[in-house]
Amino acid sequence: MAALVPEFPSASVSTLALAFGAVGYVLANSAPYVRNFRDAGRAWRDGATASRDALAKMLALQASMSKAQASVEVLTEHTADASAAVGFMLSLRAELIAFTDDLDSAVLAVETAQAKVKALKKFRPIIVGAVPGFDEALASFETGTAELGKMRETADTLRESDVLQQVDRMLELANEAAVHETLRLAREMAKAKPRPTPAVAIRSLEEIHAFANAHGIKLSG
Amino acid sequence: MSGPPLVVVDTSVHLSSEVFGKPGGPSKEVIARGFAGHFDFALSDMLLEEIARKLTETGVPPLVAAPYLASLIAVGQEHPDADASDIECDDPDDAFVVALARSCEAWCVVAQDNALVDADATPPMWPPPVFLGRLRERRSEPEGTRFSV
Repeated sequence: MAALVPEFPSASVSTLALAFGAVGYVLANSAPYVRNFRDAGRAWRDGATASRDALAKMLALQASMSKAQASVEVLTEHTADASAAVGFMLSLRAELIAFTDDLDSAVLAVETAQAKVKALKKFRPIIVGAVPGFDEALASFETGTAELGKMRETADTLRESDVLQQVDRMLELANEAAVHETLRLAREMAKAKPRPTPAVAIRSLEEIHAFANAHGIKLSG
Repeated sequence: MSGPPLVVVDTSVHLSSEVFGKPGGPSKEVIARGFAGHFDFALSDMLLEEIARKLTETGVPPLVAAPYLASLIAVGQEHPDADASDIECDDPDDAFVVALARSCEAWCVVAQDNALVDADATPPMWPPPVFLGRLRERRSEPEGTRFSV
């Protein structure tokens, strides 16, 4: 199987999160001398939060993808742990989709902040007098937003790449193994089973239902 | 009256949300009556596989899913999967159910799935409430007789 773990620009997102933090601090602690100042501060803070979230999600996703790669390698040799693999793949799939969405939100937040900052630059002469460290913070932000292209590229790559399809293929493989294992177990149990009463059969359905309920699974035929 | 009829119970009945609900739901009564010997479950590899797949693909582990399937295998009549290539069905994935019912000469198919319900088909395909009514008639039970566990 092809390498599953894509190259994530964790350094880029990390730099951006730091830049947002620095500028956000300066803006949050300054009086609103000019119109749009608060808006820019808010956009900056939103961008900071979004990029920090994206960073955390990205690190978690990287760990999951590495684990998925290892799981699939194990799965091709042993099917006994198939159901754990199915559960893991399902959560990885959800995580991957959520991460792509988060990254999109982070890119959007950064773009909004950039637009606000552009408007704010016109008032630089007034702001620098009132906000200590504004120029340094602005420089830091601009360095950080230089990474925006890489973030956008990653979001596009994730959307267009076959990472999700690879996860789906792994899910299919894991599910085949789980079906096989379920039927093998069922046939083995049936051999040792006296004719089950309606109560016994209904109880085994109720156990499936209890498991599904506990794990937020919606069952349907 | 002849012996218990042979019935194909579709996956939609085994796993309908109503079968997991409180006692008295029609799907649950269908299952309970099957295990009580009021009819025989007609099974095939594909049908068992479909039930197993619907459970595992949502994350239900084999150890949780297998006991119910084991119960079905223990009471049901297994038949070879029949050729479904000439069967027209609203949902092509359901064609194997109709093929099984025809090849094993089942009395009927019971399905929650609208794509599989057709009272004029051969054999007829009924939703659980209709099936239960016909089964009561066949067993000469008084109208409205309920069976639950």
